[in-house]
Amino acid sequence: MQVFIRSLAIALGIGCLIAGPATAGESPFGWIYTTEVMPPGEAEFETQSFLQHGQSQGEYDYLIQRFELELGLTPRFQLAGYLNFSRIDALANGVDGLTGGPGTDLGPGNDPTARYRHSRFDTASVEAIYQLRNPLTDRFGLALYLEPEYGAREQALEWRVMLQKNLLDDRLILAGNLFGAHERERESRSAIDRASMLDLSGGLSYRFRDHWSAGFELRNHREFSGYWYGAREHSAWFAGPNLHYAARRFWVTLAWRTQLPVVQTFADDQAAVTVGHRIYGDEHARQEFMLKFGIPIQRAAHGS
Amino acid sequence: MKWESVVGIGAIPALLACVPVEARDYLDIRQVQEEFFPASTLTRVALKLEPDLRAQLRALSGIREPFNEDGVWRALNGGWLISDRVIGKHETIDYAVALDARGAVRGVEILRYSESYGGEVRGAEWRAQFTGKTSSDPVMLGKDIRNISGATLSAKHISQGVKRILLLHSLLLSKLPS
Repeated sequence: MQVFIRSLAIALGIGCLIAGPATAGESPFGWIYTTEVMPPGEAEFETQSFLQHGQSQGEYDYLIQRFELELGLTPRFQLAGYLNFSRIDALANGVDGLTGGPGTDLGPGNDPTARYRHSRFDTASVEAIYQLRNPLTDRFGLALYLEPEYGAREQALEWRVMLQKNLLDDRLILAGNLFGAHERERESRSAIDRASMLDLSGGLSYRFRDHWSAGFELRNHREFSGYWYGAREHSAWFAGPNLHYAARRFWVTLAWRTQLPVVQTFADDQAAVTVGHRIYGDEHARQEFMLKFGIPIQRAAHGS
Repeated sequence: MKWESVVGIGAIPALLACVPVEARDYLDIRQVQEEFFPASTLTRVALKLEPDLRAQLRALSGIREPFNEDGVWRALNGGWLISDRVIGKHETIDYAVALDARGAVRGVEILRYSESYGGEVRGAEWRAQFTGKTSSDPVMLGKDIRNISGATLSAKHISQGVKRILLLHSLLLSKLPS
């Protein structure tokens, strides 16, 4: 964790030196994407710290740390590059009292009753977003997203359809995403794990005073076996608030969502890791936190 | 790794957030008066908009931010100087519109811009698009007002604000006794 905090502090320090005015890349939501894109020639540095905390017992913390550089290429198209890291710290968190959960990869040399702690570089990814409709000038915003991801252990392809509607002088943002992912992961003890998922998420963010917005996000996550939506595995729900602050040189968003006790499971192995109508195992944690920073990069010439 | 680390990371932007945003005053209303009505006396006009008129202005302009009823001045030659405020990306934008006796725009000036970005709306070339507009013109971003990529929200709301002022002249100010 200290590695991540140090790297994050260094990144923030560099970012503050090159910071310019905040631009369209900022996001008032923790997990939901809006449909605005970076203006052409504008760039932004962003970090995302996504923490999954707690399972049915024991100790469990799984941090996914992402570093992003985002660049607007045309008025409707932006590209971003990511470096993705993770840090897992788990102890006796499984339903069966053994150590496990998302992010763990216990091999033959690991004691399943002992603490599992590991940091690693996971993947590099490239994200492309194309805006079909601008929420500020059209009746609603609509954008498409594609992100291929590649690492030594895991590869994935993610896509999104993003919708946005602004109301009340653009103070109120309503946003919804249809998200899909197709993943391949090589684990120490087993063969290749193939999975696909579909997320439906929606939320709102309201600017209640200058610089500050707050809102709410809801997510339904559906997991399937195989790359292309084979057998259904489970459907889980998450909900929680978000808070956003934007200043001249940076913006920050903090969000929390909790797994609601309403999971549906469609296989015996999924039901076996369900406690109190929440699913754990290798699937989900009970609480999720997101902390995002955006630091726009100063343009050399800024017409005003 | 504990979740407190996430909170600890959050302390960094919280500290940065304490640094106040620089609000930038570019012009005051007296300077705008000198620019558009040199050597002329302007008289403040006290307005109290009826709810029906407010609703009509809101519906026709798209702006919900309350109109600044204390910012209306009339010139001896029948022209008007009106200051108002619209919402920007993170803060509000104070601006002024000068109208001639017919109710056509003589000019638009940005008075106070506390925004983190979008300062291009202060550019003379962009603001010149409003000159000559009347209440019968769309005054709409993307239609007869060119957008500024990266400043869309500011440009949109200023356009809507100018439209509201033109409508106010047409519906009320032009009917006031001299």
